Amino acid sequence: MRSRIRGLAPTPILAGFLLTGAALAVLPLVLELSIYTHNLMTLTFLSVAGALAWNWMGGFLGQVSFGHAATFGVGGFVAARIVLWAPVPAPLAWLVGGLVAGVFALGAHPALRLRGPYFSIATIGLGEATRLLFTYWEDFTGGSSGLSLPIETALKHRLYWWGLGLVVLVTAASWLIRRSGLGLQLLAIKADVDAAADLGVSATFYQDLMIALSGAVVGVTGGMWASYFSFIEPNDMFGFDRSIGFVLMAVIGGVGTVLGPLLGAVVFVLLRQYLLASYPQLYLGVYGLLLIFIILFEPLGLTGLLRRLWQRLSALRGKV
Amino acid sequence: MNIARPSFLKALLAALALLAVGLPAQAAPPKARVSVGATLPLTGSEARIGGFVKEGYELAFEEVNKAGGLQVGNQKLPVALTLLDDATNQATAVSLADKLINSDKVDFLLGTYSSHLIEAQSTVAEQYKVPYLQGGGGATKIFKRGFKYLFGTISPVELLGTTLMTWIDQQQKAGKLPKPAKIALLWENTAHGKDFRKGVSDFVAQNKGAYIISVDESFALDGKDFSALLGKVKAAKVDLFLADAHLPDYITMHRQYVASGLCHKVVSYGARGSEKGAIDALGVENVKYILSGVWWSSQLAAKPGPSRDFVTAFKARYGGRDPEWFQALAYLSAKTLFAAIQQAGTVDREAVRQKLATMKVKSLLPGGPLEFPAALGQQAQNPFVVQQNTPDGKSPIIFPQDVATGTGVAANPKCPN
Repeated sequence: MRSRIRGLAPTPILAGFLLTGAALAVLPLVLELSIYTHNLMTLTFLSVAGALAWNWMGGFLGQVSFGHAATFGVGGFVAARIVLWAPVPAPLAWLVGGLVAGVFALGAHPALRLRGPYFSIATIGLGEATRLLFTYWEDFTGGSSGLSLPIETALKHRLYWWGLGLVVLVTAASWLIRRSGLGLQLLAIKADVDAAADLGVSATFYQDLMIALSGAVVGVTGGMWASYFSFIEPNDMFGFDRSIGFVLMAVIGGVGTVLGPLLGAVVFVLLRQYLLASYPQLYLGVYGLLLIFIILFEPLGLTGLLRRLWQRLSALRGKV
Repeated sequence: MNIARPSFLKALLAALALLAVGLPAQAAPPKARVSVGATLPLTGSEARIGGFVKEGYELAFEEVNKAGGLQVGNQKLPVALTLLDDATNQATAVSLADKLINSDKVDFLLGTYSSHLIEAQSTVAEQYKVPYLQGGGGATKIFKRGFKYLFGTISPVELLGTTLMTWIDQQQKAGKLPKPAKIALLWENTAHGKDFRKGVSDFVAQNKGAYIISVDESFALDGKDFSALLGKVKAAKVDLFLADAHLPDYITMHRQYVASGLCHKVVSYGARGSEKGAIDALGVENVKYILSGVWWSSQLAAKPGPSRDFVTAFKARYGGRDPEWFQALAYLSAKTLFAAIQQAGTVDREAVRQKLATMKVKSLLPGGPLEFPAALGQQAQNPFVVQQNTPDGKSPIIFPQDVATGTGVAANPKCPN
């Protein structure tokens, strides 16, 4: 068993991963982080978890979704409604929200027959249809007026660790999926769905599995998001901007890689916040330039850049 | 030596006692300035209005600093405004408010613009117990959450619907409009639009037999194509066209309204219609006789008082341009916060909150003094003024009578009989 785990995750990587997680967990306890930094890191964790889960579909399976805001919104509103209806612990509400979002994501099953840009266009339609449906479902979502949740400062503070826990879980899951037989089958589907089916890979099953899992995790982040903000509104939760956000985080970091969406989300949230607060006129331009640069010169995003740097350093070390 | 020993012991005991009860608190460093934070939609769909609100805030801050600052207790302190762009985005508005409070350490917050942004952002102010004064979100839902730190200088949108209907009712009673009059009621699907709809619907329900709502439809904020909606209006052959829209939607919808060849005895887009930018965009000819209800008008400066003072100062600062209600309410919000700080004599947030909750101050709003009734969620309840665009490109106040600068026209002379 131990050797199997070692095969999936080499010891230095496993140790580095666990150490980073542990360091982030104790960070607010040893350093006096300002409330703002604490909250910003919480938001970053939620974005990281969402981007990593998006990557299971868009990166591992090659089905680039522009409609993930739908599952984010479903998870968020289901969790919010549960919190408002019954005195249940918030984590349970997030979990139920995630499960419902996962099942809801399976509604995109017919679109899985489409590949490439056709699938992406279909997800735009599904996302927008979901947004409209929930905007007009006033009894459930409060319509365009949204839902206000009780303001719970302590829960908002604890969300740091819940968010970090989710990131650790989703990163580990990403790594395991990538390194396991499942990952190989997903790669086969990504390369050629028909050829994969000829080799005995159940393309439909694995695509359904990934869309449900991806939707569920994004749904959980939606639930946490609702608890963080204490107010959610359909046009924001289901907005196209949010779907684009997931895509951008993965593209910036490196689509299809394990750590890419994580790096991309960190840059996406922190850089955006910094630019908005310091250089509001520049933030859209800087984003545009960053994307153009990555698409033109480094399709694997920041991960590709880091790999190149690593190779250069290794070559230099070899010369020395 | 013998004498010194008891003194030494006494001193030691005194020191120990001090340690036991805790050292006397160090006096807080004297406050160098009063720090106020705000975010505004300076980019995104509400960027235009965000710019207007910024003008109002900046004028208020400049004025008070030119006068030497705020009298806080026995010291005069300058006021500093930290203004950030929330990009017309809820999550950004929330997280930047968080930054202003917890990183920039501002003492108080002024509101952003638009009900949906304020509804989200005000939760942060409430959470960290920071007084939040705003004049950009009039939806009543914002004020029905029992928040203690949220104050609105902007009257409810519901009252806007009621006010417009009151003027229309006067025209109907004078025989200028048909009875019953058929209404097309279009409202943006937001808390703002729902309030407007409620104001009109309640009025219609209270005046049975006088009005029939033939079309009652919502539309999404930031719409690009209203042709289907306008098609329904055309088919229903209504007399009154009453819509509630934000500025970009008003411009888009009315352009399509004109292109469809529609004409109604009364046309209104709620609070929109008299904006100079919209008149420029649509052309004077196309906006003639549009009725609008606003929270404030520069024509209130006709009489001496706070409105005249504000208009004079605004014109001097912004090259002779007339302010609109956006700048006026922003200016008023900032000035009211300053008044509360001065009256409280401290920058202590709780003391200023309590002062805001109980104060009644002279204001530039129609109806005079401003107060924040607790029973109504601390939202001001000052009346609206109704304006109507005229063929010469002006928009005189036509209602209420005591502040009117012109006479309203109904039915719309542009429409063929």
